[in-house]
Amino acid sequence: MKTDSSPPKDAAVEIRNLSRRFGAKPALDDVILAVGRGVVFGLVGENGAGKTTLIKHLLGLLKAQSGSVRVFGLDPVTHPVEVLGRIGYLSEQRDLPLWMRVDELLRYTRAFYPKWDAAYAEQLRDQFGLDPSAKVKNLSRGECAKAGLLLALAHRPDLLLLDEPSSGLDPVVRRDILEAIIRTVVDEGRTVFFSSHLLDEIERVSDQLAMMVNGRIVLSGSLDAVKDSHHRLTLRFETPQTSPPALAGVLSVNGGGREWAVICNGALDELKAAIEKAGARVVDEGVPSLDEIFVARVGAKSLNR
Amino acid sequence: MNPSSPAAAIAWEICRKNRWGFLVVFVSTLCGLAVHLFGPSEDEVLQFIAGTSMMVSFLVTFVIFSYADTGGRISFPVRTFTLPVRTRLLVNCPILLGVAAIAVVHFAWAFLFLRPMGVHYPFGLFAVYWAAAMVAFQATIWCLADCPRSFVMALILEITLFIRLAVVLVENHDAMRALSCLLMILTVAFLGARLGIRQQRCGQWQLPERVRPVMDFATRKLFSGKRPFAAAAQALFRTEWRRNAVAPLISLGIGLVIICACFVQFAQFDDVGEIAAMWVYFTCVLLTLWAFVSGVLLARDTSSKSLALSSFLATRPISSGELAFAKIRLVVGLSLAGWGVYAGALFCWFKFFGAYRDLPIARWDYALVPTTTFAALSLAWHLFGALPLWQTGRVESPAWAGLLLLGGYIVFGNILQFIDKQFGLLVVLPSLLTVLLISKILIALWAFREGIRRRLLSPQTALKYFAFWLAGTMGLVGLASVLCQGTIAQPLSIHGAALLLPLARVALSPLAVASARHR
Repeated sequence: MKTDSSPPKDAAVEIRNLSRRFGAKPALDDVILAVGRGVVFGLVGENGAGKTTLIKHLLGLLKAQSGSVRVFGLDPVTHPVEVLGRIGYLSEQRDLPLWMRVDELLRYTRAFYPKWDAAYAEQLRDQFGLDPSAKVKNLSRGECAKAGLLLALAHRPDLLLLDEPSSGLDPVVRRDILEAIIRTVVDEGRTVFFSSHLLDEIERVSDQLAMMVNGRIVLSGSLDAVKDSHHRLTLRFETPQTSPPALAGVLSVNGGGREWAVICNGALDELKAAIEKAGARVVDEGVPSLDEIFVARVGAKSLNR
Repeated sequence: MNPSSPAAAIAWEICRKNRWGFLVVFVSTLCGLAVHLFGPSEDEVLQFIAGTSMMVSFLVTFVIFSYADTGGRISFPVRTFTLPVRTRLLVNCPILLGVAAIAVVHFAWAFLFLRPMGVHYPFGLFAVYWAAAMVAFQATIWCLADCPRSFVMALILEITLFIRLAVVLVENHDAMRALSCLLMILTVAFLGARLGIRQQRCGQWQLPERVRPVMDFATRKLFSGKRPFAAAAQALFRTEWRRNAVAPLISLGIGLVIICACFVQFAQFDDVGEIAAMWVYFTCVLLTLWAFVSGVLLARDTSSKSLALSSFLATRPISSGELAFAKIRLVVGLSLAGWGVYAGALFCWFKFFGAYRDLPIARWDYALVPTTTFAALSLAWHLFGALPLWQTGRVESPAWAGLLLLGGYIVFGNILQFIDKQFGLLVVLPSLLTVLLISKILIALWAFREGIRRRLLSPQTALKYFAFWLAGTMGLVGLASVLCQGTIAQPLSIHGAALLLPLARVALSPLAVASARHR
């Protein structure tokens, strides 16, 4: 179920029916997505779900085999200069030129961006504790991530694309720096699009999210709407049940005997009516965490495969 | 199949990974057998097919048993270092399998094709020859994985050495000496491979600690600027120059200095005229090798050692045309700098040999004109090389690209030989060169049009380059007609001069970058 798929007006990112195959394997399957300006958009999914492939389409590094991709209304493949000039990108691979020094890397990257803010770059370098004379190849994984983030931010992009930004960053940097930066970017009216499999991070930072499973968007919308549309219910039956209760809208079931815990999606009244009809009553109800929703969704998808 | 031991697992991995390669070797060997069984022995076309099949089967066997990972660079599979087995097993296993496989291929060709066709040479000695070649190839690939320049140079030297040894073995003049030489190469290569892999496994295969600070200081003093670049194109070119041009130029300079020094030494004892001519020959060989190697290496991405476009560069807000033209400017710059270095060496030649009275003035022409023409041809042609092909990023490793190019030249040479035997090369060459020139212009027009349509480059850029090419080509054609006036070579040299400056390859370059950038 998709809670919201209507494209916002003046979208930063707009993807329509995007599909992509690598050989026989579908990497993206009819993806429809729209991200408005000035929001933090989180893309979640298990490894191999297609997050990086989707981001590569936004950068124009992959051509759409079917469907269309628009970033600020432009096709990134036919208008790479216009689109990439407004994007700050942090790659999951951190493929920076290893032979350069940090100051050389800044000097080199600056040449490509007319809007490069040298003072801001210097401030970020200080904040990240990067030695300007250090060679990139001698930086730790976390320092490489910081250097990549610095390059992505220093030209104050309209869209910040972060592919697994937390990878390699320690918890302090992740919470205090990354999240602060993301909030600052959004407060300035710019957009952040980031992928992660750390659901607590997405939950803390995102305004909107999309969940990918096997190349498909199985859920998208605002964080509140997603959480409001899912329920964690504990059911009690009069007699012990030998098999899990089959109820419409249930994504995952755990338990046994008389008591079962379910994660479900849909209108609560209708769900309760169905539960009563099945001979059970709701003894406890709550809002599931994003983690529980994700596990339930991925599990449900795996079962349906 | 479940491999029952580590050695069997390595053998299984090689077989599984290269099953198509084995099929190619098998089919090409069968092809040779079929030619022998069913074709008339004097048919040149069939002989050409058999010769090519034999070359393919040997080359593919070498590639299969290189036992290398090719993710961007060639190296011994590093993942095997964490396996609980001794280094000697990791090294011995692919070496022994490689030696066995190349011996099988050699004897298959010897007994199924060559001997029945009446070709006789010392088959036993050649088994040792191929074994030594295989081990030397494996050792070079595994130990010089991190140094592409040294790798290609070492490979070219090995090829030269093995060609010489093959000649000695076929002539059978000094077979015992050649055999001892082969056994020595085999032993040294085997021990080198063992030592190299052992060092790599314990992480000690790197620049010595004493050299590193000196290198760091030198690069910092030489290349680190403080002022921002004026434009993205300048940043791209400077980075390309620093990354892909400085080291080749230094190596060319060193090579020329060594050649000059050696020949100046020899000239004190021997015939000066002979030495002066030899100097020219060796310089030509060095320039060709240098341009060949540099032509592949300059195509590397500035962010990595791979020929594939890195996402770091691909995500910069710059058109594919500008990315392509940064490389083209690098080729032009490297050609000019190469000519500069060569001019310096030529100056030394004049300075030393020009003073000798017994050096006839004809010798000057003999040395100067062909050498300068050859240097110009070699540099301009090889440095641009197959740049658009490498820019597509389909071949990621420079070493494999070099081997591919080498294979291409071998095939091209065979085709020329075939044409020569069938029709006479000098008869068809003018028509062939005309067809090539027309094709070049047509391809360039299509590629420029496509590049402009896809907004990869501006019409002004295309026009500017076309004007440069036209003016340069007209100049070269004029020069060729003046230099070769009244000689039999005049029409050919005019055609050759018209083909010298790259046009189609330049026009295809932005399209190639775009195809690598937007897959």
